[in-house]
Amino acid sequence: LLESLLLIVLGGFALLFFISSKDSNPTAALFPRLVSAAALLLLACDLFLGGVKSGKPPVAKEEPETHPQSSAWLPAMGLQTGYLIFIYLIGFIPATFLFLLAAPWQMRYRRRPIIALHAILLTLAIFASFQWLFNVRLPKGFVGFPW
Amino acid sequence: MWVEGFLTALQPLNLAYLVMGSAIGMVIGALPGLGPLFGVALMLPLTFGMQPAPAIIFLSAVHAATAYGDSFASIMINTPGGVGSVASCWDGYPMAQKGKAGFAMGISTLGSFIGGIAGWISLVALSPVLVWVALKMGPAEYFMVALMALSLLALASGEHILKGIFLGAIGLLLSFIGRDPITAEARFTFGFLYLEDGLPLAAVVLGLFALSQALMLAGEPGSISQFRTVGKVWEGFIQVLRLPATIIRASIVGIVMGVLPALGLSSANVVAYFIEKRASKHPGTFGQGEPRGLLAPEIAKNACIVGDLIPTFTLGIPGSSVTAIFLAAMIMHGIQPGAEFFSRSGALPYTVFAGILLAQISFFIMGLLFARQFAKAVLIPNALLVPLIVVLSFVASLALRSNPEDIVVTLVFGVLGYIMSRYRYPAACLVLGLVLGDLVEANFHRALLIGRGSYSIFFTRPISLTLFALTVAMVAWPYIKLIFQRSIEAGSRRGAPQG
Repeated sequence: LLESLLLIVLGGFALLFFISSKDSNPTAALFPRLVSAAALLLLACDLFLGGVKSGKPPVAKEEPETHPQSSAWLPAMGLQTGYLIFIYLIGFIPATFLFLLAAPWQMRYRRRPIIALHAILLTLAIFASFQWLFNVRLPKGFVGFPW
Repeated sequence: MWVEGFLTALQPLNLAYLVMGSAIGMVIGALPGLGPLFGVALMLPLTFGMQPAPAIIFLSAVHAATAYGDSFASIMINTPGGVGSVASCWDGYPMAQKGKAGFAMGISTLGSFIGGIAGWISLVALSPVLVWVALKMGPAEYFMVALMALSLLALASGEHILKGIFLGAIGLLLSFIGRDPITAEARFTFGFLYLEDGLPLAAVVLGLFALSQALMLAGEPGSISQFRTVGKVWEGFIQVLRLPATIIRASIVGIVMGVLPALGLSSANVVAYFIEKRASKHPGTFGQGEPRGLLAPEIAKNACIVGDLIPTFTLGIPGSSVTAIFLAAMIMHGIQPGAEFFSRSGALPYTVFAGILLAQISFFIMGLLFARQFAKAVLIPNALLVPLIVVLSFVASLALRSNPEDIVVTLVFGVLGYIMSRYRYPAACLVLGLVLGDLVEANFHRALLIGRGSYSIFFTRPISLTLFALTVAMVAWPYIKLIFQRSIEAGSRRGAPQG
């Protein structure tokens, strides 16, 4: 299902480019149009060859065996999305601290002192190196705390 | 002049800048997604108050050490430190998984040093010849070289050749978002103001490699290394010395790719890997922790990054965005690169060259001291390493433009990268397409202008035609071989007695 979704997204993306290239002037549209047409052709060839090889419809393929917990990425992804939302809400530094506390716990790591120490030290290191040394403007969030 | 140059470069203050630049470069390089461009750009303002020689020596040290440090993330967490380290993941990471991270770091350290020295020798000795070769290349040839690099990357990805080329095309399409290089017209922005500057490369790379790797590791208990050991760094050194043919091949690839403006760093490591795989008697071992699969890209990358300076010094034309910053730094400090660089600047060019050589030695010594410590990162539990990768990816996305929307791009490409990794799609092809997009398109249009709108320009110039024929032959060869094998098998079955 995931692989089909990926191919639909990428194929749809190439198709969208092919259609959108009509809005640009001929010079700006020429190369993108050629590339998007080539991409769609390559995708069709790949699906056709995949179908010929397996002797089945080319969409469904078995999942690789290398990932013992193939659904574990979903909660991890959810947590990362939450981290991003918190960056917008309360700013980068507090969101990072909270994420560093929550993420190991979510991965079933239960040594609380190490989690706390890891979160504190890493947050401080990020703050010191990027904010002070590299002078990167880290987002302060809508709340606008002074960190 | 050389003696004077070396004596100036060896002054205590210059040596201090050398060590400082190497240390900063290694740390920046080790952060996922932050490569030489970020390192040199970030350190440029610090050189404002310096004399010309220490300033260039300091930037040379940052430049060389960042390129070396880039490989740390490739080997430890399967995330290229920059576009120049994509191929280092393919055999470096499997070594780390097998408890040989120290061994891989040894190969990387000595390989990077040898590559840097090879690049330096070419910079000093071969500059005029190599620049002559580069000047023979026109837009049609550059277009074909870029096409060849994309095809080689797809071939290096094993059985997914068509998928690799398809992803390369998707990468090219992504690079078209923003302003057209010829007409400067905004296109494919779909109404988003954010997309007018194009997709941020660092954010895309971090998503595709670092974040996707974090998602992969989230489902795996324990640590990256399946063993509680990292191996010995010196064993990696010995392994390097046993592979002289690899050293020569990869050095040549790195130097030649370095001289070609804009193509070098992103392609050299991939081309070197592919050539090494083709030259090997056991290509099946590549991708499973083969030392040559790590050594070749490491040498090529560092030879290329120094070779990249050749057109900068001799023609005053920067070979890449990093060397463009280098060029800006030189002009800022009153050094005028170009044809008269050597005749009008006294001993300064020799001091700069000596500084570049010393920068290679400096990062090598630092690598000797710290490689094993860095290698121990693979023993950290995934539950602590994954959050670290995520936080570093997010902050590195922010670092270049301070735009929080870049993190959204990282997250989106993280999911795409995860699905690609899970189904073994070569995501590196997409990145190379994105990196080369502007160059490919600009040269395509220039070639058409020169050819007065006729596509025949790509097939009537000897170098361009040769490159095209080579690309087609290389892409078609695995399929032709398969057809031959099948017909031989079918023939032998027909010839075999029935029953």
